[in-house]
Amino acid sequence: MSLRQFLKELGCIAGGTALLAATPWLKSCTPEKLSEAAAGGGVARIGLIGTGSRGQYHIHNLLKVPFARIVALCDDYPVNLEAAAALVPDAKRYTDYRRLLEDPEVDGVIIATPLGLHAQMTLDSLSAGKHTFCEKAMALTMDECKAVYDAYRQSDRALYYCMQRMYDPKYVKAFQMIGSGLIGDVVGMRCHWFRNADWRRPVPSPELERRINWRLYRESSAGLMTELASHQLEVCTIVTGKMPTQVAGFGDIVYWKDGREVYDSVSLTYRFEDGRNITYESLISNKFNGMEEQILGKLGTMDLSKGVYYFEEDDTTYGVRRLLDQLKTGVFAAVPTAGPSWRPELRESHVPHAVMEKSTGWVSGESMIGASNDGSLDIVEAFCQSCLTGEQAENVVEEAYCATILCLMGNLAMDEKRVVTLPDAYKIPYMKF
Amino acid sequence: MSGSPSHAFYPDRALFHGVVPHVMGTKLEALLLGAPERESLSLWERWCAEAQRLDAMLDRFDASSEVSRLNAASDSGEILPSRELLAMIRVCEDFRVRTRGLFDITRGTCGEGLQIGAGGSVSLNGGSLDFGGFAKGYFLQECKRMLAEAGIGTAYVDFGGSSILALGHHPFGESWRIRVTHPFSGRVLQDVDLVDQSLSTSGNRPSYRDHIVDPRTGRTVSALRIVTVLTADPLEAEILSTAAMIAEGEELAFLKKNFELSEINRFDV
Ligand SMILES: NC(=O)c1ccc[n+]([C@@H]2O[C@H](COP(=O)([O-])OP(=O)(O)OC[C@H]3O[C@@H](n4cnc5c(N)ncnc54)[C@H](O)[C@@H]3O)[C@@H](O)[C@H]2O)c1
Repeated sequence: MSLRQFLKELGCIAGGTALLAATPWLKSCTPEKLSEAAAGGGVARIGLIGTGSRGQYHIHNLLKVPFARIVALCDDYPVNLEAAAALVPDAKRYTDYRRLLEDPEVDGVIIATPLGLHAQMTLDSLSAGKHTFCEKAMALTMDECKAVYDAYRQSDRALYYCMQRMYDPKYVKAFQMIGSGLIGDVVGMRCHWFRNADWRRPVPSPELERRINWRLYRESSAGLMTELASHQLEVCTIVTGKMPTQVAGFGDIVYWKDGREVYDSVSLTYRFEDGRNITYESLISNKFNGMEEQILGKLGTMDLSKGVYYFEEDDTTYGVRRLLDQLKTGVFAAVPTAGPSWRPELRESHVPHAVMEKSTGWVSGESMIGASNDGSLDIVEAFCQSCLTGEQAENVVEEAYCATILCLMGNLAMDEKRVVTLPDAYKIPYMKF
Repeated sequence: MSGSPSHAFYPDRALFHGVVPHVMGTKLEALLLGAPERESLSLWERWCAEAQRLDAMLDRFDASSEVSRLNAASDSGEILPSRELLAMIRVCEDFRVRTRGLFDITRGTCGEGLQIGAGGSVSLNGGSLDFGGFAKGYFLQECKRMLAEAGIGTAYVDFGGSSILALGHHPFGESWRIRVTHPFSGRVLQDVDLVDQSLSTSGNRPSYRDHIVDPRTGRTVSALRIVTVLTADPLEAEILSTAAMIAEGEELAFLKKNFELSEINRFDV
């Protein structure tokens, strides 16, 4: 189900609008606001910087947004620029992003370049007066994050970071359910992301190694933390409404000893001031555990990535199984029903309940580009809507800031093998402890 | 472990047992008695295929289903459903009228329902279709018909624990006896004896609440309540159990009067 359909149904349920209080960033992209914005026949004119794999994925999504038009493309790697131009032949092409930012026909800019370039490009884009969307962690260093945050506070332009979980109906509904007390008090969080792949891309000639495999080198990437953990840590800060202040952990290159500089294995504990923890693990040489974000409550567990929850105590009775036993043993007795539908079993002792009435499978987390239906289209669409209305989505930048700071604190803790405490200099008023 | 469909046959009792752990959002489980293995198996396989076919047609969370395609076009005026779906929509509309709007498959129109045009086209007026309260009953109706065709007179079909079709009787008793307990208090509410009948249960459970929406107001039913409906037609049982959950004041008496062949029981704590 699309986010729009989800919001539409929410609008029709009594108290539906109140539910939006738990996810205030969706208030700027309701169907009503869209019809207002689109009534004038306005079109968001989008320029894209970085037309690599994720950039091209966005192009496919943007082409589905009726009120958006891609007017400009920029990449300094001709192969990728050409590939993107083939998808949008009418768009202007640039090799220097500054020229694209000068283009008065561009209303909004989507930046899909390596992490090391995010801060500069975002700052330049905002000061060029463009609405800006950047993929996905904020920046490579905490200072850069702070600079972006400060610029955002000064700017009247809309700024988004692509943390698509905030726009995925399955997550949105789960946030609301947790907020309404479904699983009781949240007592801890466990997140992990496991893959079994080298995280490399083929390189046509050796001098392109650092450019194409930018994820593996510290000058351009903060590794698993910003590329994977950022999404999951953000879920934890949203669910608790709080920011952890301490982190400890270990990171190493365990298997892919191929000259890369970033860890291929990380294991960390984040601690909130009230004593709750987030346990975080990521490893890319074993994928058995897949990707999960488990919110542990006193009454139950929400597994956000699968869109299912479990109760500590569940009253599942096994109607037909009992009958079968009776028939085999020649006994007649009343069979208890489960009453209102029970949900299919995935675990031996806990019955999963689907967040979206019906769980339609889940994202395995194996794709490096993006899965379909994961909120990526919805967030791009919301950004295009902001390009028309000028309305900033609440909390999106703040949450991206918190998540990125947590990732970078984690890297620092692993690099220096010590407990890292959130420095005062990087605290922002949004953070609650 | 429990992921894929499975079945077993116990020759000494001519007892066939089949399970599909996950179809139409829940579990389908059945016991067929008295028929040779081959016949039971062939019927069971047809049921599995049919449940999957209906799922692929009616699942509004599956973007490729017919219902999703209609829902996606809901803003663009009239849409043309397949004959089968149109027939289902007509049945649902009929029940909507007969239940005075308590049962309504349209969502997002705040109780306005839908319009069926002369040529079999449908206008959803921006709303969407949700067959969640219909599909299981419809499927059990088909099961009942196919059992009759196959000449199997003793069977117990459990769809998600909440929709049960019981034909004939327990081999060691005179009925299929089902115990309904209150999901909140654990108290035994009733023992229901089924012979050639269907039972549909609807209600809130500690672990699954606020899932039934009053189509007229958009409010969820939050009462600590359970409803059982006992009747010959599995679809009617399914639909009335939802309607009776929602019914307020005089409406429950109205339902009981208007559907006098059905036994509607409602328990509140
Ligand atoms: N939200 C998500 O789920 C998600 C998923 C995948 C990637 N991403 C993000 O998208 C970004 C891009 O990732 P990718 O996998 O597409 O990488 P990529 O290497 O395929 O693409 C990056 C592109 O940026 C171009 N580029 C580099 N320097 C440039 C410059 N100075 N000017 C113009 N273009 C320049 C490169 O030539 C390349 O085409 C990353 O920040 C990544 O974190 C987000």
